[in-house]
Amino acid sequence: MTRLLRAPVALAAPALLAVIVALVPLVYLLDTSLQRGLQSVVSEIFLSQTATLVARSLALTVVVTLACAIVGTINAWFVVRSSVPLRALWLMLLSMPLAIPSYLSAFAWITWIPSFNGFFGAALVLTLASYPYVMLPVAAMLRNADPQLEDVARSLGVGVFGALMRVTLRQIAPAIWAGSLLVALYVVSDFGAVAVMRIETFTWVIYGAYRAGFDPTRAATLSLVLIAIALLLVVVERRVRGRTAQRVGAGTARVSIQRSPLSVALPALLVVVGSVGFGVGVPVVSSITWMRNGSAINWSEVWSTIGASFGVGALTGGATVLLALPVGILIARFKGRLTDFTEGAVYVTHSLPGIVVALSVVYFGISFARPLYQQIPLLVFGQMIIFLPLVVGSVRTSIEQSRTVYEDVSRSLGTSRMNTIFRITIPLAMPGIAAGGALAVLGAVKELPTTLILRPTGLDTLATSIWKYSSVSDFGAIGPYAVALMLLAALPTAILSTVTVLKVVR
Amino acid sequence: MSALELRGVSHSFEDTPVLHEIGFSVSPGTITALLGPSGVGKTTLLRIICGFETPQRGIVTINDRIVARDGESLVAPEHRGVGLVPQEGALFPHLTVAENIAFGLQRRRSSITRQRVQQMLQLVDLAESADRRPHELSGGMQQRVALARALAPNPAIVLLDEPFASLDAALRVTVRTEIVDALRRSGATALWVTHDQQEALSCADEVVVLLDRRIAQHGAPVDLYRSPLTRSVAEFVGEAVRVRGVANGTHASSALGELSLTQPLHGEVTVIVRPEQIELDDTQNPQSPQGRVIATRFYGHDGEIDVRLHNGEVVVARLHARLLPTVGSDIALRVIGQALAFA
Repeated sequence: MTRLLRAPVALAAPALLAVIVALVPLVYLLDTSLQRGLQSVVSEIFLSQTATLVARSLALTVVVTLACAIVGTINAWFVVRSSVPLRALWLMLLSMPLAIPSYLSAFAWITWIPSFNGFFGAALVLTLASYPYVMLPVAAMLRNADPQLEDVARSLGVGVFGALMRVTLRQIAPAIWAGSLLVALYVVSDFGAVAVMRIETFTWVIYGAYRAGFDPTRAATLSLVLIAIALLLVVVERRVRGRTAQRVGAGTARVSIQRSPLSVALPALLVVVGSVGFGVGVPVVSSITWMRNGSAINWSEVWSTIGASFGVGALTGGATVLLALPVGILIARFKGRLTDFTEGAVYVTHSLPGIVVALSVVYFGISFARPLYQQIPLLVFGQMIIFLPLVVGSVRTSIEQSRTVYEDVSRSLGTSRMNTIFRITIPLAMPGIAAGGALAVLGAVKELPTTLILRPTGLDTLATSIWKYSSVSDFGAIGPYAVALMLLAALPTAILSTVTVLKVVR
Repeated sequence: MSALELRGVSHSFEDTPVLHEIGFSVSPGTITALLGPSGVGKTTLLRIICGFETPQRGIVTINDRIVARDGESLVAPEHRGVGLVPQEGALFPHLTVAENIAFGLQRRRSSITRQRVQQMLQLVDLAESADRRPHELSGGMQQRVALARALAPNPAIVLLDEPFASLDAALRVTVRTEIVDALRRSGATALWVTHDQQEALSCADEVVVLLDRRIAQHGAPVDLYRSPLTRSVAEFVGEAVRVRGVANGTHASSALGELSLTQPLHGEVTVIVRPEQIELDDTQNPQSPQGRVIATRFYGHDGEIDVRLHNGEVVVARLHARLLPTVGSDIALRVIGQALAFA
């Protein structure tokens, strides 16, 4: 039975307002790019430089996505299907790159092997940073895949490897696709790794054009092209996820999984060790080395930076949760054109790279909210737009998981629709709401391009401090900030990946 | 006056009709069972009464106030005074037992509320569990709390939606008895949705049978069992033994002999008797119908036999366990009481 209920105005109005607020800066981006007329936008897009830029960005995206699909799938297979002991710990370790910002990782690599800069270095760093986006969904799907299908294939005369390729791989293909598209989206949006590796992809060139200052239309126009690419990826990702295949038949899949002995899994083990060693080991060891070799650390500055990071993070987290709540509730519980529009708008924001949001907010601030320009509210506003889809997703999932019958009972006991939302819907979804808030705080602490562009002069967060010292190659000074950032980010990453881990490792 | 009244309620989802011309009423202080097989629209009817669906046609009246009419909801669910006890209870997991019960009460921190909660806890015999969380309770206890929560605001009517479907068979009877006791003691009016005919017959004052989207019969349990209006009601409520027959007014002749009918009828009919109406006949009467036992089922307290009659028809008889004949034996039967016949 579908619930074709009209949303109460008290819910619909703030939800609509939230997504409109999130999309308004885009109007200013469009306006800025059109300052010299449509003709100049078109000629900018068809410039040969732009074509080279598109080609380079797409090449990087394709290479990293392919590599992540392979590495992520192998790692997932190893954790779920090999007989390695301490499975949970492996999965946790393999998820840890999610806690390490790409700019930090890139900087660790480039100080270790300076010749790594450029395309190859960026591809390596981005692969090591984003394979978990493939690994986590594939691991979950592998765990739920019917192991008996492989047995059936074997009994029909297909070898171990053949069964793996012809049966198992087909079963987990949707998860590989969905994860890969997320990786692609992440790569086109990434700013840190390409900036440190000095490779001219969209984000880095947009930043350069913006910093050069004399030509805002170029930065804005390139941003529009980038949005188009990202939007395409999001649309395809959504399509693919919709087709995620489920098992046929009611047979229970709780047949114990046959796990390959380590001797068979040895090649996979090499990939796993490489992922952890290069993806986690290199940045962690480098950061610790920097810290130990660094001369006198200015601890008061470190502490005040941590404070500032979390101050901004808490503001962002709080604001994003407030904005995401009505949106998530609307999407999860009500149907209709308004809901469709809201959901679509959230997907658009999901595709926006940080650098594009930052520029949009700058143009919005210059023309509309000048007193707030380079003030905390505008910084929080920009970060809020970036993390809105993440928090909406978290809120929405947890609401969809709680049964509607609780709300029905509450209504029948004399509680109005809005009161039911406050007394039942929100308390039941609290874990998801809190997790969403935590994700936003963590994201804001790590977020580089938005903070760089929108922060008040003189405000340093962990991300901008690492950026500042890395651009002058002051290793000693980076150490404490890098260690602090990774320590702080590791905890929530561990907790969040535990959710998947618990599903996978049983 | 009636606590609940439905008149001509029809509803469909998109192009699939789910309810057709439903009309019945529930008197205050009584328990009515809404009995029907799964998927017959019982839950939809319940949602219509609660106000979560609006019927496309017809009128819903609660305590003589019209709450919905012809596709229009006139009273919101929260103002209808309907207490809902859903499947599995659906206790709010984030609240304690006492907080669950107090949920629907005004001014939740007042002493009146505390008294009412105490009263409800005693009603369902859970006074010691006030501060426990729903997940700490057994399935049966959760159902009792759900009932207390529904009764606390003194609703016009309590709706129970297959309340015991999730409990295992042994527990079900116990919990059912406790719930009916509590309902009786509180004097509440209840509409009880179930697909279990035994549950409906044993607990309710009146039973509404819903078959094929419409009301097939509405009456006291005894009448429903003894005088079903249609063949489908006869077969759905209780077990039915069917044989072909020819009726000539008050009697019908069949492979089970000359049977007295509950209602006069003429011509070819289907005759229905209950398995417990068929007995072994040891009077050596040559007129008695003869048959051969083709299967026996031993249930402990009693048992059943399948008997193939001389014309090939097979009937089921329920016998005391010690009377069960062996498979293959030839026996004589007789039918006690009147038989039902349908054209």
